[in-house]
Amino acid sequence: MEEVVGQDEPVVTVGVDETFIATGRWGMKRSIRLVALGGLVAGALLAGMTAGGSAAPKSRLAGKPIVIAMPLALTGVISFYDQPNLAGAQIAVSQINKKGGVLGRPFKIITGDTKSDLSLIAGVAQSLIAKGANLMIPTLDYDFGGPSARAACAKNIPAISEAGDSRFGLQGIGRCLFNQFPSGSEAAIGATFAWAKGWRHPFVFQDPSISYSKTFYENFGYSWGKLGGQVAGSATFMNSDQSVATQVAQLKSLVDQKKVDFIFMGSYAPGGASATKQIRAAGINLPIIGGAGFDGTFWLGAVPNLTNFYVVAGGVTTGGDPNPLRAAVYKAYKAKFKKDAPLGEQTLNGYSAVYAFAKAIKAAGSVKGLAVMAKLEKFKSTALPIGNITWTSKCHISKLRSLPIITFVGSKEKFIAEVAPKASILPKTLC
Amino acid sequence: MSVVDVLARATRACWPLPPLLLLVAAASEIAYVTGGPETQGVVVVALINLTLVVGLYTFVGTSGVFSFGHIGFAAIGAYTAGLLVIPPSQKAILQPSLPTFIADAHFGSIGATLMGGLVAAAVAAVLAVPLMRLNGLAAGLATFAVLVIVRTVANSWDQVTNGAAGLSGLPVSTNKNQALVWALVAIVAALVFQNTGLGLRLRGSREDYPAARSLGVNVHAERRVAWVVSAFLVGIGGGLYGQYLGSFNANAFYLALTFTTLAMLVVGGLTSLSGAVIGSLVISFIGEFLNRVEQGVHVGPVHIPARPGLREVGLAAIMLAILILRPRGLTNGRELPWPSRRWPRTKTEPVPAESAAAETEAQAP
Repeated sequence: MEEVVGQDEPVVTVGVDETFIATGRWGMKRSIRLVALGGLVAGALLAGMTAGGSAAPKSRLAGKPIVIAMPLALTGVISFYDQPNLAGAQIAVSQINKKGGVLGRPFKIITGDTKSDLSLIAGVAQSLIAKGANLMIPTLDYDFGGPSARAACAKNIPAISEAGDSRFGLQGIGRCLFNQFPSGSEAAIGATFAWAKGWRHPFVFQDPSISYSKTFYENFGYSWGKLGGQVAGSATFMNSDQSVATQVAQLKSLVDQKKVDFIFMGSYAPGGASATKQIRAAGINLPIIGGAGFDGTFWLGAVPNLTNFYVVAGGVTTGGDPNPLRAAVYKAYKAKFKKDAPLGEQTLNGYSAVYAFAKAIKAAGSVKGLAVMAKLEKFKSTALPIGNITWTSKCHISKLRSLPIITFVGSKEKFIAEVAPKASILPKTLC
Repeated sequence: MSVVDVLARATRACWPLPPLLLLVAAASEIAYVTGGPETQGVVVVALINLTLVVGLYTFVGTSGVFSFGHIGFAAIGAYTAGLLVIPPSQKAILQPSLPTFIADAHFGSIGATLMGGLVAAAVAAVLAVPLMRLNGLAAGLATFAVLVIVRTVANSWDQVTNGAAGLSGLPVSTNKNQALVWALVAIVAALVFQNTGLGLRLRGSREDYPAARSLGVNVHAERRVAWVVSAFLVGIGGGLYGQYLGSFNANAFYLALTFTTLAMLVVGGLTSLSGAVIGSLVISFIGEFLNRVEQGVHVGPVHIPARPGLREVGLAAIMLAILILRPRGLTNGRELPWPSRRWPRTKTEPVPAESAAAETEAQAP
């Protein structure tokens, strides 16, 4: 859900010739001429290429596509999250277009690759907007989706996506942006589930390496306290740590004294998966609760035969989701790509955003940005595949919607419960 | 002396400044005017990278000591400038735990950028004392440690840097003109610095460390000065980058940017300012060119389909090829040569051919 950056980037060594012996100068002018010539040729090519990409003139003719800009990380670290996001949106667009589109107009997705590179995102988003975008689905993260969303807001283009960071909405970005994720509520949902199970003594694994995991365990501490619980112990580690032996030993001694009855994993894969493996290897089979960082089955290979692990997830991607809307999305994904969706929540994000746009456009009777935004602000427990969404003119984050709890049986996911948080245990967020 | 002579002498005195400034201004202007919004963004980032690379060159190029830590100074510049330009009303919402003297401070874009450079230079001045005694691999590792430390502090100092979530809400003020002016200023500053007595002594020590020491050059002291000047320029580059992104966290100033800027410097030619400028422009240009090819293009009747990831692979291959064919960079580690044959030296003092040739040789490096 949040960024996964910089932890495992390979270290490249650059060879340095420290002697710097002066060599002949004959090559200098020739090389400059070559560079200049190359520059001119390439410049001409570049200019030719850009000439083709000018903005299309606006018209409101029926049958003209409604353009959804998707400036996404199609390559790089974030592409893992954005690819299912794009796939979800593509499935929704083809479904809607088959039924004749909205207001007699089909949807059309245009994409641009932000390469998981912060410095490129705003430019990619602006170029898609210049191609006549009416709507936008940015990357599902505050850091990597924020720059696109800001570009959309500058032109009053409605944008829908999701991020765990509560800055991803009206207060942090602008009026155009609507966040489908219950920011700040994910940990509260985990806490509510554990409390309902009768578990009372959590040991919290804290991974402060990225904003997502840090907020996740801090919010858990807050919500758990509001429920009246106490934390039995906690240990800090970094996602890039190879060994968490010290932290597991700490946990083990509390487990031996019977002071712990479940583990809260404030982390994400791959580091969180590795920590989980080491906990199980130490013979500790207590229930573990994780969040969106463990959504999907992609990481299960690291911890074979994992049991008693509960995830506050997006849905059951491997079949059997009791929510028919979600199940239909995963089924369509499997039909199109011949495999299960790799991530639950992210696939739903793109899919659901398109349906939310369709609903708002139908209600507004136009694709005018401000009119569509006004209708999105009227969503009240509106049933979308991602969940029941509520947005108001003061808050563009659907804070109180439920999330499913899933567990793993072999390499399959199994639905456990659908949990919504109580407003009283939610930490203070931006709205 | 005729006007032409005066001009020629003046140009020669500040060579290779005129062609470098012209090249940077013309290249960025042409790309900016002919390109769409995406290219325009790339131009701004390229100019910011140029400022960073020129700043890096001021230390690495003149002293010959490799530094992997300079992007840490860019981070310090970006955080300082960022905390100063975010409106206090927004800071109160997004970072309620900020110390009051930062929470209440509010600077304009230029002032904040300069402050970013100053704070980076101040940190560098402290670090210079232990670090500048080191040579070779030890210096490379120690500077890398600086990068890691800055990144870890930026990622964990919740009250000030907002931890891993980072700063947000910076007014996006770095546009093409601002980035261009700063880049040109950085180039001028770097040239002035490398031609001062200190710069020349430092470059001497780069070529032959024992000889420089034996001539009484206090290499460590001179490196300290270059380190601080270079941190100032890099800090300014970082401040500009932060104000281009609008929101960033510590990851924006880590390994990726470190290797991008170092690669630009090495490809251009580590030991000359011309190399820093040309390397930075060439890599930015090739990157953007491949980016276009990657999205799928028509070359006449032939359509090249979209190939995501081509930019990264192609850029790596081209850099490798350049370094194999020209191990000392595109400029061979030299400044742009003076077009000597076409410019009369002076009319009154004809120089014998032999000694003229010898003099040109001597001035070449």
